[in-house]
Amino acid sequence: METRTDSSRTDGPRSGGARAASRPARPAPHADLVLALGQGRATVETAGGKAARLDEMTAAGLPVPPAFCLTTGLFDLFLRETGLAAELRAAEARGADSGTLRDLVLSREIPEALARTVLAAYEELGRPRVAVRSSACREDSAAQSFAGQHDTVLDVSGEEALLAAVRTCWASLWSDRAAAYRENGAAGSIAVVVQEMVHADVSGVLFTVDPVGGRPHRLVVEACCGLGEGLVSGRVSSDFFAIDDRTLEVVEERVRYKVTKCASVTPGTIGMTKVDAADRDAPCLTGEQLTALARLALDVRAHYGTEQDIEWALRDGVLHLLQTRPITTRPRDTPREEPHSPYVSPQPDPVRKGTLWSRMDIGEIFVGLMSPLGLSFARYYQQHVHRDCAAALGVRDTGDVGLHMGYLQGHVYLNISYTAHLLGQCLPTRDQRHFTSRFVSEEADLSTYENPFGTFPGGLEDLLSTLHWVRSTATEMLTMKHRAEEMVTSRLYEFDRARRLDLTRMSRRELHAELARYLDFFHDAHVGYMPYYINAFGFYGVLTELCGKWLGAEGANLQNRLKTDMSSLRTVASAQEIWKVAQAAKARPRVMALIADTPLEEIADRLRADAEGRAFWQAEMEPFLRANGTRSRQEMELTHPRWIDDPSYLFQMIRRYAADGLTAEDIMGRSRARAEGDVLAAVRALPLPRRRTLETVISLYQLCSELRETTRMSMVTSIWLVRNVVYEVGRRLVAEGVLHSPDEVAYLDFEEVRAYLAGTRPARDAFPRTALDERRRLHDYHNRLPEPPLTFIGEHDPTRPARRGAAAAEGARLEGLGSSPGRVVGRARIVEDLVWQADEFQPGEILVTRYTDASWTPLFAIAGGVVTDIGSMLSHSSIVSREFNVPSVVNTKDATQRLRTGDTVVVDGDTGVVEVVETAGADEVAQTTEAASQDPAD
Amino acid sequence: MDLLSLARTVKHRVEAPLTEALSLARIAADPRNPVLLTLSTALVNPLYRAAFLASAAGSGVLGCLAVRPCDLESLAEYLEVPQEDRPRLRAWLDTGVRLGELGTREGCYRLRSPAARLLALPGNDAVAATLEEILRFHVPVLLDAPRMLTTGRRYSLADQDGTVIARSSLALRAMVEAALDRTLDREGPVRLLEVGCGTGAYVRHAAEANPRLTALAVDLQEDVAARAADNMAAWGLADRVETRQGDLRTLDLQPQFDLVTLHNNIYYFPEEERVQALRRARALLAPGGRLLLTTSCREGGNAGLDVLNLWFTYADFGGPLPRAEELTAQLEEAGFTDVRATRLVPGQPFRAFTGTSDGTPVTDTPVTEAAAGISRTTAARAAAPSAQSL
Repeated sequence: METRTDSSRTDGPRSGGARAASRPARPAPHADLVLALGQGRATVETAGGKAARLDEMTAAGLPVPPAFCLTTGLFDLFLRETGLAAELRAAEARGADSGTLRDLVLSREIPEALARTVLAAYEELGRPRVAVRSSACREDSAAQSFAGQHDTVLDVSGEEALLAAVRTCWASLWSDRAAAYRENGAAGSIAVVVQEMVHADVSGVLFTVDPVGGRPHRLVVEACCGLGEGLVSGRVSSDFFAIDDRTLEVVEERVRYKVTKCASVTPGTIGMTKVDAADRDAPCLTGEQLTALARLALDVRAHYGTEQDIEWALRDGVLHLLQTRPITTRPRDTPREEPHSPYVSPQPDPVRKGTLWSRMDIGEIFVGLMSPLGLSFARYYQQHVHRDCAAALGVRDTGDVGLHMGYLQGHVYLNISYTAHLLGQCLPTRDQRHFTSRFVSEEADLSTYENPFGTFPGGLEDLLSTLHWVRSTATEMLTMKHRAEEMVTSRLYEFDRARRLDLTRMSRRELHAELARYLDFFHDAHVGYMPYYINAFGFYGVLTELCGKWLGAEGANLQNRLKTDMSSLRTVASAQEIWKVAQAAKARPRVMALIADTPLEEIADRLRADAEGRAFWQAEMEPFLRANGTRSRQEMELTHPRWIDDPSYLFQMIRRYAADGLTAEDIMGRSRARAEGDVLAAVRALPLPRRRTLETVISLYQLCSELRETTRMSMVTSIWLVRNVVYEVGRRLVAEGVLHSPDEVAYLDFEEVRAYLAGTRPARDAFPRTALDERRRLHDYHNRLPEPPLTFIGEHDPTRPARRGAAAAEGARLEGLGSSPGRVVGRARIVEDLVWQADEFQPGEILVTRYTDASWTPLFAIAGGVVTDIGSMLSHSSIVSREFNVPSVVNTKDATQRLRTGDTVVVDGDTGVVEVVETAGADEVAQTTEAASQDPAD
Repeated sequence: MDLLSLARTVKHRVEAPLTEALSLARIAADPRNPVLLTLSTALVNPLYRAAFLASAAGSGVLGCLAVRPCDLESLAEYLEVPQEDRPRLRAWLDTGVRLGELGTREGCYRLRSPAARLLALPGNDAVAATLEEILRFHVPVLLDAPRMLTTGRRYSLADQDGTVIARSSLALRAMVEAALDRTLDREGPVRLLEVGCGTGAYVRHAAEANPRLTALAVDLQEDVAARAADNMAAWGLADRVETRQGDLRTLDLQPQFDLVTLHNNIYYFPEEERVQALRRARALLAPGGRLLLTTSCREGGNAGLDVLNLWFTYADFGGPLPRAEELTAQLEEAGFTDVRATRLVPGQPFRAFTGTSDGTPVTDTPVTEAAAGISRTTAARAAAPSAQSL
């Protein structure tokens, strides 16, 4: 481990200068307008803030990659010599928009003399691949420069490319983004930094003070694979370390499974690629590297005398400093301020401390960490939809909506205590245990639990509630089929309508009307869906009870062995339909070749640009997307693109399904693999009345499951519709410079979006930057906290050290809930990122993941078994596994941390046990992944 | 010679002292007399009465008298008649008394005939306005037609009295609203476009029937649209209904509407432009969205509509009232499917036409004003300023 302090590179006169001198000397004109950084000559006025800082850091002997700066003087000269200065003034006076001004600058050739000046400096740098960044004179605070309101061009090589990049940076002075920051007056001037590009293996940021936690003596490190741009955009997962600044010991560590990184794909193009399999679950940095990084940070802090926010990169074991800025904002004392209770409003102690919370299996569209946008949308749901959902279940008194749901560390929780209390009004859940028991997990001990809300009041109230429930349930039984049909019709109508609309061409007022409409549809779809969901759950409970009572051992798990006609389950059908699309693609070799050989993100465009591809798209993709396209994972999270928005995953699955050796039987025949006769034999042996009863319950369970699946698409489609409007607003905000990139849509607040569309306020006022930045910081903080428990009573302290399961040794047993019967032996594969890893998955492997939802269905179809950290008997994944006859164990808590890809495991879906037979060696891990990674898009 | 003076002459002659018997016999033998008498009772008196009632209702006199009997002074005050014209007002009122519509008691005028009493009811204002419309517009076209052919004069939009038309059109209100009620989804979110919104009353009706409805209401005439926008604000609908000037033929909007309505204005489009206008309406509909068009239709047996039709024949804008089967065919030609014409009240020529857009693209793009060469006046031809009455 060494940090680069090679003085020959940083002290002037530079070694590069000597190299240049050895050539036929042709001194460049205006050489004084270019500064080699590190000589302490760059001031903010002439070189801009960024260059001045780099200059100072280099001069201080910090390991900064060599760089030079094109001063504002050079830029001014460019404007004068090309006559642009006058043209721009005239255009500004005309009130031309910033796009016009930018184009003026971009289209102007750099005069030959100036170009020579730039290229001479490049020559002197040694003509490496470089990063070209604008360095504005006013850019200052970390909040502004972090995402950067001016442009950066990465991985530039060659003279033409360099000059083009310089022009891009110059033109960025007139970007909307920059304009949004200029209070008033002229654009001023701009400098450009040209710096050797560090093709980092690992990069990240270091804060010398915990920016959110605020705990003292902690250096906080975020590290990701590849370039730091992935971290900034929030698109890759990162490791988190906290180092004590006195002992330089690592005091906290959160290592994530890292599937993707941001890196140079081809020279000049930065994109997302896969992380090598062996590196995925290893920490990004070794202990030594962390210590070295911490030392460097202390040096920087000592040098500047203030707390710093440092961007760094590691390449071939050498540490580079890319940027350091003072931390100006006072760290927020979040852990102390942030409540440990999910309640949104203050509650009396007994309630706050006695409430049972769970995020297990609530609709499966909330599970997991949510972005600020996602959370604010969940709150919208709570305030505007949830009450009617409860009412749709026949609950007479729906109570206080504010109590139904809670939020903790960016996760959404259902208030089980309060819900159980209210559900006491419904006959089947009068005994709260029926509802409560399914949320038991080892974090929450229910033996001493007592509902702080108590049981629902008896007497007249109770009678009225029961009558109300009976009436509404009877109505539901009569109308449920018809309502499902109507929901399907209106879903298709809304989908077709939305497909025709070009939201970019709608006025703000029209968008407002669209959003209102979609939210109405969202409301109806949820309220319509909820009874199917709860009734399926109810009939399942009755079935379990009756089977246990009447059938004894013979009927054990009968409820899980039942399955409906496979094609009637919408979700399962989606796998079938992908199979059909894959077959259709295979039948057109040209189309299949396009899908197989084009980088994922370009496939859709390439298909539509090709005659045969277009025909395939129209005939196969469009109908598929109409039926399934609005699905995604964790669908309540608005930031996740739907299949129709980003079909990458579909193409991954098409590639997988079209692979040789996979037959229709593998995918479609699974559900017929097990003899069906035996299952119902026990039922047939029962006396007639019991048999009839059981058959009725079975058919009702099947009907409700089927309707639930069908209507779920309405719900999912409604979220897609809302998402479309939010992203259109996001697009406009990026164009106006209020957001720095489309990724920042994640930090919008849904209520702000609604208020903005309803009114006439300018975007900059409607979306205050400070609020966006604050949400981003809080989200980053949540993201690095250990995941909160699935279920807990009272409060949860995020700083309490989390239990972390050690890697499972051979013979180790993981216990969970058997949710789909059968026993299978296979190789485990950890899948964290469905889209990026779908093509790695080999048929017959054991799918190990944190949780699944409907979007995983196509993978289930080829899995040998399924193991998840989170889940319940009625999770979507459990139902789908049963349909596919895939043995499945859910709710193992930490299988993804304890199992490794390549481990051979036995999955027993009857007992709910996963046993490790043989652990994988490191080589094997790499092999299993590489074998699958033949994707040229990687 | 008008009938009154004829009558007066007859009376005068009767009173003449001399040659009574002879002239009496001659006059009595005049074969024109029975004709005159027949005319007077069968045609003329009703016409006089109708004209009197129409103006009494339109001026508000009937309304005043419905509250309580009034003397000349208070009526003159109400109508703001200057002192020197009060005898003229008395002459008019007394004629009404002689026609039997009004009565007098203790120096006060009061309503007398059943017709006057009925028309005085506030709820029957639309009927009164229809009467006025007939007398003001229908009668002249019957009288003037031959002369207009020789002079070449044509009616223009300015020849219509907007307030009378607006009032009389309310006679159709119940039927239009019934048609809306049949077509409108009451529960789901609905996006409505109303072409030719007039006062905005029908948009209001729809918005109140479905609280989730949002609408765009356009009218070709700037001032009509402005008034409708004020109405929306007064009705508390401004946040749900956007009201502005707009021409169906140039509206460049995304196909976002679930329902497009045109009430009582299809005849403001010349016949040869109707298919094109309907096509534009379809282009703004979502796939599966519907059009609702209400209009009176030309058919045998309704003299009023025939005369209205005659009026448009002599106007320099719009076109004839549609025949049901013609309009149905035009809707189909414009690409609508499932086209239906429903008669809302048996025996009435008023129909509601509905059609569904199947979402197949409409090939022609909206006409830009410049490209279409629409001047202010020709633009006014397609005006749907306010709902036109039967």
